[in-house]
Amino acid sequence: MTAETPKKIKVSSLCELCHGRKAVMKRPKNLQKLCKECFYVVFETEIHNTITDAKLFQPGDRVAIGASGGKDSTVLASVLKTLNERYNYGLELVLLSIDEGIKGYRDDSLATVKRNQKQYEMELEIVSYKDLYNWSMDEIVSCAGIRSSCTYCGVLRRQALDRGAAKLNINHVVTGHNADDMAETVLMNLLRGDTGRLEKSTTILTQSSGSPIKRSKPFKYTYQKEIVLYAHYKKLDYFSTECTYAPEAFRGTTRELLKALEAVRPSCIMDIIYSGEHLALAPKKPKKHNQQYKNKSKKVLENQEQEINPDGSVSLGREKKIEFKDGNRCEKCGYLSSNKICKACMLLAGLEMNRAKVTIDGNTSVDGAAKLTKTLEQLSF
Amino acid sequence: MGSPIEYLDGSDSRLCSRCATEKGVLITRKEVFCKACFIRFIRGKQRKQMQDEKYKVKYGKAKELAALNPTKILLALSMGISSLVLFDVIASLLQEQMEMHKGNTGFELVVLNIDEYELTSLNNSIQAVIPKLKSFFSYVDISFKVLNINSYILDETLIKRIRLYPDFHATMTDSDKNVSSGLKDLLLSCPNKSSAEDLLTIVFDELILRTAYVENCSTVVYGHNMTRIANEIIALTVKGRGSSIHEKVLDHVVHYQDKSIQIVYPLKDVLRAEVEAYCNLIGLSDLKLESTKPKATINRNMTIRDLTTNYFNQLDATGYASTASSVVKTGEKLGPPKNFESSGSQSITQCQVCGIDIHQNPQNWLKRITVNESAPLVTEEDEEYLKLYNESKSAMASLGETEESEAITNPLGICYGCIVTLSSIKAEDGFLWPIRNSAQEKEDILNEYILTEDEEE
Repeated sequence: MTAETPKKIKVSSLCELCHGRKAVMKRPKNLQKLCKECFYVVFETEIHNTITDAKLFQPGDRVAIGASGGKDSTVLASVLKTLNERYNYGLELVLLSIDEGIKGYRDDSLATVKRNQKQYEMELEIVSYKDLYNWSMDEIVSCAGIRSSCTYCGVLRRQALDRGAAKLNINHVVTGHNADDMAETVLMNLLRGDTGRLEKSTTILTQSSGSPIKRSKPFKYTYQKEIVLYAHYKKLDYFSTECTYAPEAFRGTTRELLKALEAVRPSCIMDIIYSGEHLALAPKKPKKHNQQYKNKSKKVLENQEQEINPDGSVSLGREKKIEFKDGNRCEKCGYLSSNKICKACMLLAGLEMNRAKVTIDGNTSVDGAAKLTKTLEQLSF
Repeated sequence: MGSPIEYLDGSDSRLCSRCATEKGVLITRKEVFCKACFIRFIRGKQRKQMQDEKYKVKYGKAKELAALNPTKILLALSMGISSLVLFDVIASLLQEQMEMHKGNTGFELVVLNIDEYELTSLNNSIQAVIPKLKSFFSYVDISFKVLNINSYILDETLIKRIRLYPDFHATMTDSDKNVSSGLKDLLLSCPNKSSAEDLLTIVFDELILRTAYVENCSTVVYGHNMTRIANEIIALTVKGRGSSIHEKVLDHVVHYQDKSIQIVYPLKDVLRAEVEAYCNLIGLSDLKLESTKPKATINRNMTIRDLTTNYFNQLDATGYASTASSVVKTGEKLGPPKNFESSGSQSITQCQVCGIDIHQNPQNWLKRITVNESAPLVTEEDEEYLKLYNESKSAMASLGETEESEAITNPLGICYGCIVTLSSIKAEDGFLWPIRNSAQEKEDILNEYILTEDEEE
């Protein structure tokens, strides 16, 4: 086989699927050597399979894409637009963004979303924490500290997305959660002992009977690295800075573990999801009733004692606890909640107690770390 | 706060909070312990896990029954610190029973070691340590068994060449060559360390159950401490074996052939640091066997279990030490997978490599999310390349692979975890491994019994 042309490709460096084009990348999922065109095909077809297997959409559905301007949601918008046209899903796609109020981070990423909106010709709705809750994330962090930032942000965002969708008259929000996020969640739920969420950690479509809004994750089986590659080859416009508050959380340690594992065995993300789909709680064993005679006298005593909470209130007995029912509503804001008061209202009430009573005009110290980094970057000497 | 245990030096005058007479030697779980009370505390953990009547000394009618069918416990002794500590704890239980009941005990103890001397280059052979063990535990009567890992291969005709194809289906062919190589050689041809580690776990589990079966042991005890169990739960999840957590690493009953064997983890409430402390206090540390192979220091060279072990060590050091306990508690609440029963059409089958139940067809699952379609070729140049490729492929094939394809192939029923473990094996070469055949197994196991007798010390 003499070289007729100088840039003849060796047979061994051809794409492993079409064998006709030069391979340009190693597929993160299984290290297959692929050309660009074949990568697009497998990437998009896998997402299409995921969507059809789970029967996510019905023709005529209006679907909101939770768009942050980051790579996941940008690729999601692009792929859904492609698939919608290719396979005639008959969907009307709308972009829905949340403005958490993190200066130097979200304001820039929202600009990206606005550019995407023009490019993909989709409607865009932006909902802000400040408008909804009268708190921006920067203010929350300055009040509650950086360690719990993700707790607040997560709870508030969930509600904000629902409210945004309701405003748009849409009952289905798709988010860019990818396979890495999914695997991370499975591990996290095990590590934190969160049995309530364990069985549900890998469900692709979540819906509560009382809530009109469904959520789904078409990227459930899509590797983060492949999303990055897809965005790169398709030259998609996305915003790539990580949230400046993120690295502090416990999730970070799990993420590191997952990265190390993926380096040793690339399939491990899929493997964890497969495991996650099989995790199920055993039926509860009936409680043993032996040795009751010993504790009888003690029980009577216990009933007479009453614990006083630190704030002076008294907890009501367990018997009166309200049964968990799907469809309960928060007494304060009317949002879906398993308790009397929803999680967001509870967090906000806690914050409200600690809010500074007096503020200095033009005070910029509440602007978070993101803003500070940004300012430092722009300094010149 | 590097370790959950704080050791007290001689100058500290705090008294043990349990007996209030002796000077404390360490603080664990916010309590000061003297040596005797700490040892009693750890032993108490085991006593609590094994309160069943069948482990107690019997009298009257129960005694007559027990004489016919005495309770036997198999202890899996790896010679690591956890299993050594469990050995000591159970031996002390036997001693207590003898002292209180005029020399009678509630059960017999069989100690099994699977020899890893060659495989992991241990610093000493088990044969050299057994006399030391016997003198250390001279006060009790224990039978020792040592098994070679090669005994996993019951019958060489069960060794098959396993092939895994890009669409994830697996086949097995009778191995063409005469394989007399031991299990170690089979393991050496493993594509990576994590796979070898996974297969070795399968081998150990099976050998331990098999020994319990032939030795008539109704209970198997493992020395796993809390951290180790947590680690195992996470490792199983990572390996795609999450469906078997409930029947692998927590107290459960295994139906093996025609018997039920109870698996117990008596040290599941004991932290790793506490096991270490016990080991040092009682002077067991000199007996432990360790691998002399240098440990990998770069993440890339580590196995999956190495990585998860490091993760838990790191959590201990960063103040998230309670994680291990929440993982174990979560694991204890798990049961068999639920969501697949309703799909009725396919019944649960067993993996022919590791023997676990397959609830969801792994091939179909993988095929949907790992597509192997190609994009159409556009240019003439592309077509040229495809031609070149096909030519070179057929040239390769004529070099002697045709015979292989003619060999009788059978589909192999394989679980997700085993697909993952074998996935980096090249389809051309295949991988030699003994597959399971439950019908034949019982006969073979019973024949094997004679072998273990020979190896008995």
